[in-house]
Amino acid sequence: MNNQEAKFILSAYRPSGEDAGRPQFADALQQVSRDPNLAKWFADQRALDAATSDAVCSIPIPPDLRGNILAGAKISRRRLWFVRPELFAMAAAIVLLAVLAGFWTHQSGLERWQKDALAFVPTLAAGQAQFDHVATDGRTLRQWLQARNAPTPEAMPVGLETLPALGCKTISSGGKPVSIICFRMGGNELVHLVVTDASDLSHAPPNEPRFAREDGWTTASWTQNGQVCMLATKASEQELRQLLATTVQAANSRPAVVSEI
Amino acid sequence: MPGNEFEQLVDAHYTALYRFAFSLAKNEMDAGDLTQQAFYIWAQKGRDLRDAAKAKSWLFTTLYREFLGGRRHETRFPKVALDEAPDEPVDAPLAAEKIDAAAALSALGRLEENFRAPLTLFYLKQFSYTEIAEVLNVPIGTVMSRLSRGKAELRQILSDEQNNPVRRVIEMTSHASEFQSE
Repeated sequence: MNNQEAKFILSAYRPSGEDAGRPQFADALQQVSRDPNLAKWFADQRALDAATSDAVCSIPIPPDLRGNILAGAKISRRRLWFVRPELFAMAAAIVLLAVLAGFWTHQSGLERWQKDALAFVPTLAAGQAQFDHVATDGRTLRQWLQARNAPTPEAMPVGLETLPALGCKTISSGGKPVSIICFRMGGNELVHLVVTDASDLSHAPPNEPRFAREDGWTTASWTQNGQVCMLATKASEQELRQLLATTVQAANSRPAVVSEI
Repeated sequence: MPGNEFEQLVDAHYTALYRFAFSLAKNEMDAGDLTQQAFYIWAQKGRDLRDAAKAKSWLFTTLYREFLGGRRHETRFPKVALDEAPDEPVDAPLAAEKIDAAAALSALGRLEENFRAPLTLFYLKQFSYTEIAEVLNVPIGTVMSRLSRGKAELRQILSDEQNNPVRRVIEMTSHASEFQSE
């Protein structure tokens, strides 16, 4: 790979560093470490990226936009349902689609509460959505969630105890509350602990952490005392396993459960 | 989709969608209309999309299609041939620490739309380059090419402005007049 090829590839490397672990960039990043001229170009490029990204993400939002969207959608939904009765006939097709989608969701490995959480997390990380509460340690966030009767991890992997937290958020997934606590790992990587009640889930994960990869996410999911938990990161599976390995060593009988309130 | 989940979807994506729309349309009114339109279409057609992970891509793709659809009726904008930029991007000298937000947005706004759309999605930090290709419905290689060339053009514009600030003021004034006359 020459420098021109490396520059071409690195132009797609995101400024927030989310692509650091992606194999598509590995050769180009190695080339950067070998060639000082390329390293200087890359540093300049990232500075330009950071400045432009800050500018784009600071485009002001009209204060009435959110309200207009919600109001307009309500009218749109009402008109669709009552003025166009043929949609009643489509309901059966939608139900069928939902059944098929549910089947597909199960087949792909992650359940809806997991997919909804993973879909929401990037908006928190990018600052597009606000945390419900911000604190730098997981214990405070866990207590905050518990005080509000939101899904709260009864215990957390001890590996998370040493990581700085960013905040927590409770979202709704099919009417079911799901709590997310975000932590910062080494470098720019993040790891997210997602928890919800296991009672009405048809496919709860096992008690031992089960690993999966989907859409660039590495996840570990487990069930614990009536709760289902998931750790998710864009970092490698090895890093996630290391985070959980601390737990396993600390509590042989109860993997992923070491630090209780 | 229950109302609270729709509200959640709006909360999660409306700011990024608006910023993408603003970058495309270059004015607040059209950007607001495009953003609302994307959610209205979701309310009409998107409810059968059960995979929430795909909702974000769906909304951005819909907004982009609406933008392109609206532009087809406007004859004042000449059709831009894809990838017209020079084959070999030139790295113009640039003091990145001196770039302010207004200058960066102005430079981004002066890029052709086929560069501006992928670059804006890139800078919103919402999508990887493979996801950008999916949103814009172009091959991955084309997205990488447009990111590379678009950044080179962006750098050139910002470099010119840093080295000739008087010209920047004149060009921005001219640019503003162009929008006002539309």
